[in-house]
Amino acid sequence: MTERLGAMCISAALAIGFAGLVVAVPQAAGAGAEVAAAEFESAPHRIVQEKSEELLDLIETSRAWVDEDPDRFFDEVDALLTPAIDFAGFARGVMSVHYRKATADQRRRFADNFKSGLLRTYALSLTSFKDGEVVVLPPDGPPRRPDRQNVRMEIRTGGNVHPVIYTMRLGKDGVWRIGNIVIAGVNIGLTFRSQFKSAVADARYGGDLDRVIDAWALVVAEEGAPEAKENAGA
Amino acid sequence: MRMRTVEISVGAFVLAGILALVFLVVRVSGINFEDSSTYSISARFDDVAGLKRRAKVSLAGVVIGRVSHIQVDTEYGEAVVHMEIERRAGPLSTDTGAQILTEGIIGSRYVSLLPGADEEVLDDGDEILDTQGALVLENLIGDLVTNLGS
Repeated sequence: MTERLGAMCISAALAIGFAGLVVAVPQAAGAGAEVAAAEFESAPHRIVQEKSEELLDLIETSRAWVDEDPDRFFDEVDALLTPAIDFAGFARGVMSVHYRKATADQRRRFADNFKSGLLRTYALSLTSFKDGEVVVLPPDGPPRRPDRQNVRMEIRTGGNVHPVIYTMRLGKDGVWRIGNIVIAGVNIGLTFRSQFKSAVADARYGGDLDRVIDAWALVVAEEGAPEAKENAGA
Repeated sequence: MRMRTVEISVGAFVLAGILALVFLVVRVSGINFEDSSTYSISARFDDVAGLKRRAKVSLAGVVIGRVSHIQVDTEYGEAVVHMEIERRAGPLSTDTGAQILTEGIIGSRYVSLLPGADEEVLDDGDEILDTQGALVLENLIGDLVTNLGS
């Protein structure tokens, strides 16, 4: 009984976390949505600010053709975000211990699946919208580490404030990229990491890394659904 | 003479009772007198929701350490949790993640570690950078209620 309740609580938490990802972003990207203008000294903050502005502009201009040509929208979001997000590092963190055992081909395939899964799922939901405002908050102090910095952002829609934290990492090439996201207190990278781990242990995938990699989109969708989580916990 | 044996056995029995009580207290409070070598790591959380000193630190459900002390960083509004990890548990990668979870539905809070992909390992004094604070039920209900309207 307690196990079942515990599983339900976890799935409720996950559902709210993912609702944050799916609901908060599209609402903010609405007609008249805007990024509060601010100039930042700090490079990571400037990048998040610029990318948010560019993304909202793209959503605004794409409104005329996105229904006829969603693939073009997907490509443009991809082109816009790929330089700013460390998808390879993100995917590596999700594979975690299994990354060490994986072959180069498995690592590359998972990075590709992970990236297209994220973009496909969330980019299209960006196009449904309401009025909103995206505010990048100024740094709350000097950076604690030279190669890592958190950028806080607030997505404000209709009285709701959704806090988002981007963990920015300085690459070897001297470029800051988004390495992880925390939405309303839910660390997305760690959530995916434990989902990947339990999927590899799941009998349905027979402990086969290749099958988990190929079915990744399905794994995320199932874990997010309350019934699947409840059954897994029971 | 016969009376004395009764007195001695009663005394021994009371003493055994006290020892059993001490043993129970030691076991329940989790004090460990074993001289196992440990190293200290820290992690910052936005919310530890009542995590206590001596709380468990586990990896895949196995206890591999304890929380040694918790500080508050008022500048950043975060909790800094210091943990003693047993060396015999093996090395932890530098990109290990830390989550605060609850034992059962109303159980106590503990720290769960999720090892990462890095080859380099954490050593004494290092910090875990990827963290997930406690999800407080009241906050979740609050989010749910405010989201109902939209």
